[in-house]
Amino acid sequence: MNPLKAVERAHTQHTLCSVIGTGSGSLSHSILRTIAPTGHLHTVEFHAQRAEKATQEFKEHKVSHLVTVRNQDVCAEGFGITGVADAVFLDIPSPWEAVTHAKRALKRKGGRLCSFSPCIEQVQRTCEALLNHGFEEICTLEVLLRVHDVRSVTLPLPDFGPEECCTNSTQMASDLNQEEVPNTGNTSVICRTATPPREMAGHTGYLTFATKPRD
Amino acid sequence: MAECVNDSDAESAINYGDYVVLKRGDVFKSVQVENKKKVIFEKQWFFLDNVVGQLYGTMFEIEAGGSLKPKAVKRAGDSLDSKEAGQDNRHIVDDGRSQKLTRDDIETLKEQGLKGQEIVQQLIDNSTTFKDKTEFAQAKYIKKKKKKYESDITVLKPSARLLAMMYHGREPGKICHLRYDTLAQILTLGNIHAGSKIIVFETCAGLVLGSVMERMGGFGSVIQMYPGGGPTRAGMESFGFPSHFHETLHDFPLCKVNALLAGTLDLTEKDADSQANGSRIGGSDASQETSGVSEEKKSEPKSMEVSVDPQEEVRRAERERLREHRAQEKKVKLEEKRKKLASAAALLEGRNADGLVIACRFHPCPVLMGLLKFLAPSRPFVVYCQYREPLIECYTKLREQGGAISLRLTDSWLRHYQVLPNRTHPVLLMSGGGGYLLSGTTVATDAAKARNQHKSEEPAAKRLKLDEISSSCDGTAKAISLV
Repeated sequence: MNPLKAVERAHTQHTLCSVIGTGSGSLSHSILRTIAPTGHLHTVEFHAQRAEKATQEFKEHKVSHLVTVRNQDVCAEGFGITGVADAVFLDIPSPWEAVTHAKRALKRKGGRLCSFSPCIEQVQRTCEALLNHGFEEICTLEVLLRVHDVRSVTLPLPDFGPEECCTNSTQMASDLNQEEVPNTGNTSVICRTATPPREMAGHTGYLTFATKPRD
Repeated sequence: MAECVNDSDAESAINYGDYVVLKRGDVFKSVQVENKKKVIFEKQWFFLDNVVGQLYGTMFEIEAGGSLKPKAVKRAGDSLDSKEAGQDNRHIVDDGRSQKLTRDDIETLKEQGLKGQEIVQQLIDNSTTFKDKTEFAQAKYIKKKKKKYESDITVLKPSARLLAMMYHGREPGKICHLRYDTLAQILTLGNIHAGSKIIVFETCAGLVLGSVMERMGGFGSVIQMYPGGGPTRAGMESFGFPSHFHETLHDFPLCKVNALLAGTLDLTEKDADSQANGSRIGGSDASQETSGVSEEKKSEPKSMEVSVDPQEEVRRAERERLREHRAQEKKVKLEEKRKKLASAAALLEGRNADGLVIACRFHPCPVLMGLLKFLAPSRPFVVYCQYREPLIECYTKLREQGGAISLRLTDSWLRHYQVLPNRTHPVLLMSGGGGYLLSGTTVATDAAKARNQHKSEEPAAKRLKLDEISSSCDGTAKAISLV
């Protein structure tokens, strides 16, 4: 769930948004939270069952008055709305085929668009379509959230053998500016740090933003 | 078919007093439209008067004399001539002499009134190597020259996006180097939405405050905690919110937090004379003295009436009236301030805020521990810090103290791409970092204490091994279980 999408597309009150490719509805829910109570969301899903499930969930979560779900193929049939959207979000396999409809759905005075695609080829086609349709400020980026695991790690100190002068492990520990773990034969120091996970999600998709200028 | 209420063009026309964002290429600047005021932007100066009455999103060109003229909408096919192109750069020698126009020549062209596009065409015509460049190189050259010589400015309606990009590009120090995607995360992790009561403590010139207010759309309330003299609002003003938004905004000084928590905050009304003994609201001491003095001086002129010039008498009376007037004004202002403090205190007292956002240059740990007390249980909080270690400390403290779960320390990796046919690749320069966020959810503290038998941070396997190494392992094990 990428929050950048919301800020980049200026979601706030009185905003009419369109999410094409409802899917699980998680993005739709996030947008609904942002535009309630005065905005409205139109979302389109071409898979009948998913569209049905989404409608049901919006009802369960008491937000159906804020959202309209349509079950159709946007590339063939359009969005179902004209000149009323402030922002459009495309999460479909062929977003470049929906650019014309997106332009038509957006308000005359302009609006923002965002397209999410996992493959760079899709991005290229989409950018080309956006350019040809007169969109501006076309910008493609990748954003990844990294989690840091906060933990204490205990690092043992080396034993260089007995020294002539009085330096001992206490000295070593204080050299390192760390507290020494007491009462152990081989002393250690404790570091409070944050480590990255062994593996992390390295890619979900590219985000392409654009502005539809005033007609 | 759903209609959106606010689509009339009358809404989008620019007026005197409006805050706008000027855009030229990727550079933004926030200004207020004022009568005959000179604005400097991107090494050019001009007056904004001609934007009044125009619609947001209009592009302007700067005419001689500094007036702005609306420019006709450019169509996509507006490219410059490039008839021939080379195959590669093997024979192109970069001796710095391929451009025949000198800087003076270009200045002359500018003075003659040549528009940006025409100047670029001149540069192309006078470049010996242009025709040998590959098509890609030609496009890159044109783009570069356009950026330099086309001075069109677009006037936009402010938004969190534009202002965040502006501050991050121009004055990142003012916003603690908060990158715009991190700001977006703050709004989401904090679950900022209409109708909630959010506490904000920020030293980001008001950008974070404005973004929170924008998200809330005028519903709910925002309490801005501020250090020192007064709240910083400049960045927030740049959003150009309608006046009713300001009614949802309250402020409360940090230095009174302890008093509020202890229940000893003095909010009672006082009259002008005894205010010197009352709570020290910032800057009120000086005014108290003046009002005290003016009370005294009232009686003076009467005793000094002996043989005084009538004109002098008039002037003195006038001065008296002025002093009294000013004293009265100060009294009203102080009363207003007291009322504001009381209303903010009332909102905070219940300790039932819905969210907490911290983004400041202060050490976040004490700030967080102090302000968390005002949050209801099961509510989100987000702390931004430019650096990681202070947030590690916060995390550790919260673990020890309890009262919060789902703690997450995150940061965001951001990369821009150039997408062009056969020239798609990530952009050369990338942001090194956008700051760190610690987020979590509050829980009721009595429940938290029971849950707070904290286990080892390290994975189990490592712990066992350490136990093997040191036979008298009590110390180690104890130390581990402490943190």
